[in-house]
Amino acid sequence: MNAYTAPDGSIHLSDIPPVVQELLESIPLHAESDSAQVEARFFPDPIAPEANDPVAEDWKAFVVPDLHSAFLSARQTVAADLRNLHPQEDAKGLAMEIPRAHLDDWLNALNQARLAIAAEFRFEEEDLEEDPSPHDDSPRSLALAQIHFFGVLQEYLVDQME
Amino acid sequence: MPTTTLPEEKTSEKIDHDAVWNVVVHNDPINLMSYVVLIFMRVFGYPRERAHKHMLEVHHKGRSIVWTGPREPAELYVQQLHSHLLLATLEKAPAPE
Repeated sequence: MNAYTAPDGSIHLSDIPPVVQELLESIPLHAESDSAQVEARFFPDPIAPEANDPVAEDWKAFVVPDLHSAFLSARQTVAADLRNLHPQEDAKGLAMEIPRAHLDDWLNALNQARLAIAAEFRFEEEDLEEDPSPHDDSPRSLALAQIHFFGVLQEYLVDQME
Repeated sequence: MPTTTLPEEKTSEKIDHDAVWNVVVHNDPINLMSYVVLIFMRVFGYPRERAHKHMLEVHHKGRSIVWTGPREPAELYVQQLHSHLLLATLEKAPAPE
């Protein structure tokens, strides 16, 4: 896959092979999980429980629904951009464009995907230091590969935004 | 004459608005370092060097006090950090001696 930034700040991805297409299309799906681990990671307490502070209850009532909406909106933007994946004229793969105005949503959705996968598989810091093995097709190894791929894409987008 | 029972005041649930509050960011190995720096620059308006210093403190020490001040803006900062999926909490700053 190739990526370049156009003068208007939009990101153009090209030469996307089917396996990368599948990875990209999975970005908005990972955070759809309703597992307790993902929920806890996405909506952490704003203050330690032992502080016995009323903000914790207000947070659940007022802030968490807003966060839910914001995260969903970011995923929907990414899903809409991904529907524009199209075959290149030279048939080398697929291509797509990420408009400059959508970069924040992409960063957010990529972060959601990485955090959701890590929460589901309970990855720790040392797990992330491993390189995924091409000979290991276990779900855990594939999940690690996804986290790394999304990280590379996220790093590229951060670079373009600075 | 009817009597009125006043609700028991829950002293533990009082918010000390006169206190000074810290916004603390906690380590999360999943968030990219460059992403955390970008978010600190955006949310707090910090220059890159200061944002980078806080990111390294989070990474090496597990936490960094990224902002200190009144309660209301502290809550808003925590909310903004959560919207970027950073682990952040409010903590009452120790009273000055």
